[in-house]
Parts: sequence; structure tokens; C-alpha cells
Amino acid sequence: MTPPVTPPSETPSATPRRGPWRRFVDAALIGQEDATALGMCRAAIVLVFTLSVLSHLGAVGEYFSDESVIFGEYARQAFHSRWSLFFYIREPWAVRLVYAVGVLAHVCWMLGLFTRISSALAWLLWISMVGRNPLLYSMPDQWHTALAFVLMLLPTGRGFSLDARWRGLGGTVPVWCRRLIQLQLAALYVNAAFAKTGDTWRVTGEAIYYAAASPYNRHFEINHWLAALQPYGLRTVTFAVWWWEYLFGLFVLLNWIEEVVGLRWRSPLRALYLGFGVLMHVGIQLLLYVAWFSPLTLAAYLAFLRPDEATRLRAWVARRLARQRGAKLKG
Amino acid sequence: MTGERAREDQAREDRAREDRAREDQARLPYHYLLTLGRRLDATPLGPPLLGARELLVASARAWRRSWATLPGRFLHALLALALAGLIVVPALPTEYSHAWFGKERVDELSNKMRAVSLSQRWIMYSPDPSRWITLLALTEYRKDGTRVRLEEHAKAEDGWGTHWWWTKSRKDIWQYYAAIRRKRPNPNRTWFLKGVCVRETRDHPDDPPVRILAESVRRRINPPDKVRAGAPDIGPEQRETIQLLDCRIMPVQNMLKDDPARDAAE
Repeated sequence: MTPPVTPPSETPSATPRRGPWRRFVDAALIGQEDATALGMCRAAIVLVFTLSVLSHLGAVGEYFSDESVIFGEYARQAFHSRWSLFFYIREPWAVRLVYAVGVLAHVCWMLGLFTRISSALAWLLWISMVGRNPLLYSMPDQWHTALAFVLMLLPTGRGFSLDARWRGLGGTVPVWCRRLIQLQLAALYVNAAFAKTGDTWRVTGEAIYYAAASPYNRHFEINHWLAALQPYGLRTVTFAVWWWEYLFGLFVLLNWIEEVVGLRWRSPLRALYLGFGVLMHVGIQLLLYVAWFSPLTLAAYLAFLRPDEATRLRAWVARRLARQRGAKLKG
Repeated sequence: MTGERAREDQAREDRAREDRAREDQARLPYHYLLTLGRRLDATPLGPPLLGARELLVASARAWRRSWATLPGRFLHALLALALAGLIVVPALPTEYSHAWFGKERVDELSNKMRAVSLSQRWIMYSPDPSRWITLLALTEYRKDGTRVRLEEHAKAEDGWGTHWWWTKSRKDIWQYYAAIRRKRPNPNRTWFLKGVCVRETRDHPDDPPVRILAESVRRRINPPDKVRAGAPDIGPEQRETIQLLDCRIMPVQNMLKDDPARDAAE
């Protein structure tokens, strides 16, 4: 059961009598909840961001500095609609230094140390990299940018963080924070479903075949198997994926209603819906090269973890670790 | 007896103060202002600025209290809804967003978001996954008339197998953007080819390229029913010239003249 949402800035003892509208606003938007779930979500998502940024190692100068074949003012001309710190900082050594600071900021953000400032610096590095040459980036990177922006605005350092542990900055967070990440996921899926207007998605059901068979990013040459599977399996899976994306917004809405109402009984909707999503993304990751898209999306699913579940999960991991440590000491 | 009661009162007061402090820490602006006030007190400037410290602490308390008031709660809810709007409005189909918020406003928001590389247009595999794969093959013409196949050529020949993250580089994405829009002018391709002029001039300063020829190499992914009937999974190559860039034109020559890597080499 969801722990009761505490109204903002009020200790339970000082809570005045609240009307139904006030209770609704607290439960839906501005009430406070334990920050562990949001903190876990931050740690997982930023871990993927960090790996994604680290994958630029060895090419930083070539991509973002005057070592690039599109350099200096010409880079600004070519990508005039974008902003980048690297339009102003151009020397290869300086660009590498900024990159190193940005990587450090990512590590701090992941651990939740100086979270506000480190998240802003990490975001600044990322948009500077993408803005300096947007043609090096694709849809999975657009997802990275969108998630980084949302996450940077949230008080994610208040739980499951070194800020909370070492600097005494722990506390509660408003309930809308996790829901904003859920909304971002819904925007991704529903928008994608609306854009998929072609026959291969809605009539013939061949979309997944064409996606998995493309030599541009396929992992395996199994097109003959895929073709054999098409009438029996892939066709159904294609329609299921489209409907799943299309209805994701409704799922998020139902999940919010369930949380706001705070029923003791929990429907299996969340497990089933997200379970399908996990299988889909694992499938995509197995079949296709999609950069960091699947790990990032699966990390964002942690936003659906409720505070009480996150606290229990953390306690369970802590107990396991303590037991292992004890066993090692005995050994 | 009186002393004991005083001690108890003191202990109760301390506990209450600790509770308040713990609760206060949940409000970050409060915490920062308070910390700043305390630090100020510890500096040589502290005593003269004691009033400033008290002002900071008082404003921190006022900030915290303001969130619990009706206008504070209203602003808090508004902030949350505004952030949600930043996600939802740009994600709406343009016919709705233009009708509801006005085309100019939506375009202005989109431009500002584009400046920081933010977009809520999620168009992967839409409206259909591509049934054609297009790769770019580049040939360089030197001054003496020799033709040299550039590294992109090899990719256009071998790129029809499989790909893993260690065989892909971000330059492949750039090449993809340069290869698409074959029939229409593509500024991304022109910049890519200008970059190739720079790259080849850096690599061969004594024999720089005169022209770069870009060809698209396309192959169709055959439909599953044809593949089941025995057709190959990918159709034959179709090659087509899509652009020829002269490296001697003024914009490219200016780039070559300004190239800092060339200056460093000299």
C-alpha cells in the first residue's frame, strides 16, 4: 500500500484538517513522499548517461574541437540553430578539459553528490556535445537529452544519495517528480505510436520484420527466419507493440489514479504493462544496435517504483550485502 | 526539583529544535540560505554582517513557510503543471498544438528547445520502417586526374552484414544524414563533403583533392513473403550520383585557409 502522502511543509502533528480538494491536490501533485524511489531512478538513469558520455572517449577532440573537419566559425554556421559551449571553447586541450569536468559531474550526479550543480554541469556538457555537431546523434540521443533535462530539474539528490548521507540534505520530494518522468515516458511512446501511420504498422504488420532485417543496424543475419516467423508471430507482435505504445498514456493515467486513490488492493496492471515493455526493449536490444535507447528506457521504468517498494528494495539489498559481508568475515 | 524541570524543558526544547531542523533540511533553499548565513558568521566579515545573516535566516524561514500558504501551494502546483506542459505541448501533433496555442508560440517554443537540442518528436520507424538502406560512397578526384576511393567506399561495400556497437561510430550516423534526401538539396551533405575536402587536404597537403563525388548505394529489403518464396533478403545494389562538390570553390578554400589543424602542422 502507498504510504500516506504528507502535505508540503507540514509535520503530521501540525496537520490541520484538510478538505477533499486539498487532499486531492496533495495526493496528485504537491504532497511529499519518501525520496528513495526518485533517487534510485536518478542513479540508474545517470549510470546510463555516464556510460553514453564515456563512449565518446578517444574522439572528443575530433568531434567537438578545432580538430574536427567542421571547425570554429564554420561549425556555428553549419549548426546555427543550436547552442554549444564548444562554439566558444575550441582548443582541443580546453575541450578535453571541459569533457573531463563533465564526466566528473556525471559521476557526482549518479552518486547524488552536489546533485543540483553536478546535474546542471552534466546537462551542459551533453547539450554542448549534441549542439556542436547534431549530425553525430540520433533518436536514442534525443531520448538522452529529453530525460537529462527533466531529471536535472527534479530534486533527485534528496534520497539514495551522498547528499542525503554525507551532507544532511536528505528529505522528502513532491509526488509530481516521479510522475513527470512517467509523463515523459508516455510522451515518448504515445507520440511514437501516433507517428506510426504506415501500413506496415497498422495493416500488414510487417514493421518489426523490416526493422529487424535492416542491414543498417541488425545484430544478426536471420532474415529468412524472421520471414518464416512473420505470418505466425511477428505480425501479432507488431500490432501488439503499436497498441501497447498507443495506450501507454492511458496506462500512466490509470497508474496515477491508483496511486492517488491509494487502494489497499493493487491491480496487476503495472506489472503486466511494464513487463511487456521490458520484454520489448530486451528484444530490441538483442536484435538491433540502438545505442543506449533500451538501457535508458528500462532505467526510466524505475520511476514507476513506489516509495514503499523502493525502501523495501533498499533494505533487502542492504540485508543481503550485510549477510555476505558477515559470511566473508566468518570465512 | 525546579532544576530538574528546567533540564527536562531544555531537553524537550532541544528535541523540538532538532525536529524542526530536520524538517527544514527538506527545503533546499532554506538549507542553503541557512548554511550561507552560518558560514558568513564564521568569516572575518561575520560580525559586521550579523544583520545580513539574520536577514538570510529570516528569509529562509519565510520561504519555507510560504510553500505551505495557499499562494505557495498554488505556485508549487503551477510549477509542476508548467513542467508537464513543457513535455506535453511540444509532443502534441502540430494540428492540435497550433490550433490550441497558436502557430507562432509553438514555433517559438520549438526553436528555443532546438537551441538546447531538446525535442519531443519521436518518429522512430515511422510512418513505416525504411524498406531501403542507403549508404554513401565517396570518390576523390586529384589534380592529375587520378580517382581515389575514400574510406566511405569500403563501408558502402561491406556495410550489408551485421553491426554491433564496437563496429559502429558516430561518424556512421553523420554519413547516414548525408546519404538521405537523394533527390533534393541536402545542406547536411554539402557540409559533410566540405568536411571531407578538409580531411583529405589535411591528409595529403601536397596533393589536395579537387572534387569529391558522392554516390548513393541503395538496396531494398525484400518483403517477407518474397523471402519465404526463396528471394534473397536484400535486393541488388542501385548506384546513383547525388552530388559533386568542387573543393576549389571559395567557401571551401576559405575553410582550408582558416583550418587551425593545418596551421599547427605548418
